Order: sequence, then structure tokens, then C-alpha cells
Amino acid sequence: MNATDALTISTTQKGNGVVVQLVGSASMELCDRLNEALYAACESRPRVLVVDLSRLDFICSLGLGGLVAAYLRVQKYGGALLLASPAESIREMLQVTKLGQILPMFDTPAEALASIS
Amino acid sequence: MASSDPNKAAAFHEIDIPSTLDAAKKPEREILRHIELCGYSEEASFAIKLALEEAMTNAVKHGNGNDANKRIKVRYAVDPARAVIIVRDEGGGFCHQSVPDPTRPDRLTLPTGRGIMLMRAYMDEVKFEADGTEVCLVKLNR
Repeated sequence: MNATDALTISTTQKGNGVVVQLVGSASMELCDRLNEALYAACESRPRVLVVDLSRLDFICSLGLGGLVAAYLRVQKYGGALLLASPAESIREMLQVTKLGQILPMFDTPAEALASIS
Repeated sequence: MASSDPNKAAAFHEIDIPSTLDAAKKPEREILRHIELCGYSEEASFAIKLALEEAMTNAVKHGNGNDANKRIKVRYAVDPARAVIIVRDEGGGFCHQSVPDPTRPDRLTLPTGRGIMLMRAYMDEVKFEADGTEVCLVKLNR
């Protein structure tokens, strides 16, 4: 487990949806940036906001909180926040915290986007 | 340095840092280096990093109230058998028993409040001391 962390965030418009890809580690000192990016991704009120976790190797509770805050924001205007391909360790965290109950998970971003037609 | 004899307790190291999340990376780096040297599994390393980040976040934000003039003291001992990490802040403390369960249906959609629960879920032992200004995390290397 690497303690020299970096987090790259990219946001892509896909039809009525937006995909936010997280690459690296959502460590405590980097979560403000993550939360700002998720907040910005909600501004265009996408029907579906997909967070692609396939290349994320770590997330702390501040990052989970950012996902929950984004979930609340999109829910307020009738959108959906979906997660795509979390690593096993992060999937386990989502189960332990029971956030999997409110944040649906899909194998790929494409599947997540296709689930909201 | 950590001992190679599992029956001999490792000596404690101590790091005193300013109360910021950036500064909190220094003890994290050091502790994870010891963890790697002692051959802990990826799962154990993930768990220790997570619990340590939760403890440091609590110390910075809740304990020391985001006051960068305050300090955080981290003591740790890592050997091939177990890792012990103690994080102490300069705040007024809190009652850990009064922290509500973040998995309760009525709290599930709150963005905060999962740190202590994650520490407990991923470590073998979590103890709050000194009126809640100090948390002791223990992980066994299995």
C-alpha cells in the first residue's frame, strides 16, 4: 500500500450522463479535490452521474462522504449516481458501510450508463 | 527499528506533527514502510492505512478543530507479529460510545460519521483513552 498518494480525476460527458473517472488513491489530503470535482460534475444536472472506480486503489471516509454528498445532490433533481467497477477492497468498504444499499454498482461505466435509459 | 523476533516487542517510535492532513502523511509513510518491511499482507496494509487516515482525520478535524497551530502526536511500534499505532490530539476529547452507528437507515445518507466505524471494522483492536483525545489501533499480522 503506497503512502505517496496521487489522485487523477477526469470528467467526460456521455450523452445524458457524465462519467467521472478516479485514478490513484483518494487519500485524506486529496479528498477536497475529489469532492470539488463531483460537485462540478453535478452542475450540469446530468441524468446519470457514473463514478468509475476501476483504477482507484484506496478511498477514505472523506471520499466516501464525497460520494454520498454527490448522491444527495443528483437525487435532489431526480438524477442517479452509480458506481462502476470498484476494486475488491473498495467494494468491501461499500459493503461494510452499507453504502452499497444506496450507491448501485455496475461492472463497467457503459453498463451503468445503459441502466438508465 | 522493528524487531525480527516475534516474541520481542518492537520499540515505539514517536512523531510530533502540525495538525494538518498534509503533515499527517509523514507518519503514514513511515508506518507503511515498516509494515512493508515486516511482510504484512496487502489486505493488512490497506486496513492499517485506512484506520490511520481515519484516526488522523478525526484528530485534525474533530479533535483539534482544524487548528493548524495545534499538534498531533503519533506513536507506533511495528513488528512481524503486530502493529500498534497511537494517535493523540490536543482537543477536548469526546465520548466514543455516543457516536451513532453510521449504518443506521436514518444516518446512511449523511456524508460524515464513518471514521470510527471503519477503524473498528478493519483493525483487531481500537481503544479510546485520555477522554477520547487518544486512540490506539492494533493490527495483528495474520
